[in-house]
Amino acid sequence: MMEGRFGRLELRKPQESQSETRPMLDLEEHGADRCFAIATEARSWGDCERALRYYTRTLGEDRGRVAAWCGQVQMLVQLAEYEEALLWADKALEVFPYHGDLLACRAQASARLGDRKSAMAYSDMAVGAPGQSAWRWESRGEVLLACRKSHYEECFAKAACEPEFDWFDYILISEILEFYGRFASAMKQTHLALSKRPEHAYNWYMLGRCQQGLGWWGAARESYRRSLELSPEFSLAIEALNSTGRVHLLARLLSPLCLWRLR
Amino acid sequence: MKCSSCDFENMPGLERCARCNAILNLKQIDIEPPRATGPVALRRTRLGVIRSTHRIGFNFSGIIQRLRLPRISGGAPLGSLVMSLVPGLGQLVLGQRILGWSILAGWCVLMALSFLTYGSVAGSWWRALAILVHATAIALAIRPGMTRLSWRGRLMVGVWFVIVLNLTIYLALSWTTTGLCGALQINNVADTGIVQNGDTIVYTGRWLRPDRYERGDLVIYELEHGYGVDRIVALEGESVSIVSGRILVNGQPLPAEAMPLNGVRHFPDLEFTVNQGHYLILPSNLNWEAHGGNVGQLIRQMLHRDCQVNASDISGLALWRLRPFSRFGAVE
Repeated sequence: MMEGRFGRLELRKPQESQSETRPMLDLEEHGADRCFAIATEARSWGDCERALRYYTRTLGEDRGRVAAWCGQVQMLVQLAEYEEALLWADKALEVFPYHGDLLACRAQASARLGDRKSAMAYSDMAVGAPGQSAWRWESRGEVLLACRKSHYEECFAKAACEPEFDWFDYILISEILEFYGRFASAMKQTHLALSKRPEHAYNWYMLGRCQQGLGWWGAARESYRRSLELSPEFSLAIEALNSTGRVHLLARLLSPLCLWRLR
Repeated sequence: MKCSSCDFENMPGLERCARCNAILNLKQIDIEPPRATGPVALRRTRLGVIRSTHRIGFNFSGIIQRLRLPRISGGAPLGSLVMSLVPGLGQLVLGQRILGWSILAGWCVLMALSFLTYGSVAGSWWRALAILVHATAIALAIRPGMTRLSWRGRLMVGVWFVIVLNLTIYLALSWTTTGLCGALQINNVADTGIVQNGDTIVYTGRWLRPDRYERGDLVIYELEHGYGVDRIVALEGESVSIVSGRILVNGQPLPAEAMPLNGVRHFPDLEFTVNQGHYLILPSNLNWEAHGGNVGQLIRQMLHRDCQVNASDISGLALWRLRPFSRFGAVE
């Protein structure tokens, strides 16, 4: 599903326009490919609402595009609307009953809702479905994490071996690990993403989130600042930077307690 | 009609693919995903709970399976007994969700009530009920292992649980709570804006009690019959004189924030030096007007003795007014 995710984007180079905070796509053309590209771009900036809108537009143009269905479910999960994600994954599975990526999305939604049995069953089906993708292994890793089983790192390593694996998959893995409180592992993945795309502000923002989770408030602020240097109007980083300044002293003292989850 | 999922060529008129059961007419499908409704704050709170349960590993059954605990007489696993340290968790481990959550919720309500009525007889009753619920939860968790016992045997086991629970968990809980703070109903004070007769006051426990009190501290102290609450007027070694309703400490007028709750206008003229290891507290419930202001030497001596409170008789700093609930809040 992640096929050629950023490969075909026609992005303006940052130096072309200093006022542009992020590369914007020409919105006039709204073909399925175009909408999908915008959605993917929005996703790479953590703008899940916009991404969801454009995945929907993509489906408006081409209902047979499985990646857009997957994108919708993934965005609903990212927006913490798990029940809706589950419902939508089931709906998409009515159209594409045995699609591995959709099954992986369904597994992720179930895992987030704490339905571990169902998550594992769907993940098994996803991995066993025809075709290959990094996302199936990433979802598998998440399900194993949710089920408190080891070997999730092997799943992420397996995802990294898939041919279409790109820098954003590191971020996807990082987001999963961060959700489950594995901040140190998440930070490793973010560093890998940064090694590929150091100029992308979202990578620095994710690094900041991981550092914040570890209780490294100074480093987190620095990462958010770095993110804002790259993209001064990046709202997520602005919000995060402001929130780090507002955090109560007690929360700062307690945050290192999460270190017990370090693995 | 070609299936978009498996590329199988279906006969015209079919709604679902004959091979993979996928919907064939994609134009009929709604593409707008459902969105969450309700207050954002509620959703955020819910997300926080979901995240934290994932992070702390709220998977009791998994824990028990991993522990590989033995089973009690071929019945419930020992794990359910261990988890029953918190009432209801044993049932949750056994998969009895409704019973488990009901017990947990009931126990939480009883404990909340016992804390709200802390320091009173009702508080003790709520606590006793909470212990009973807890004991019942344990008995239910290991019920499969007690099938061989007669009803007398089961009753004895239940009573034993109540006693053991009371002597272990709840005694420890009570000891910890009193270490942090205590609560007392005050009955020997004059009604002032700050404290009134019958108020239940929360005070610092033995772990939070200061080594030395300062002038003006509002403290709870032990009287011959019960407890009183008032401000410390003078520290050890200081000389105090009360002249015509005015109080001087070391020759200086006492600041307003250190004045006794009921003032000193009803006190007779007095002069004394505070003994070592004592604090001077002028009780608010003394009414010398009843004596017509005629205070003999004997009463002066009594005052000298009663107003000087030994440091060990001071229970702690008065912090919070727990009851009546209409006046719930910080004491000062």
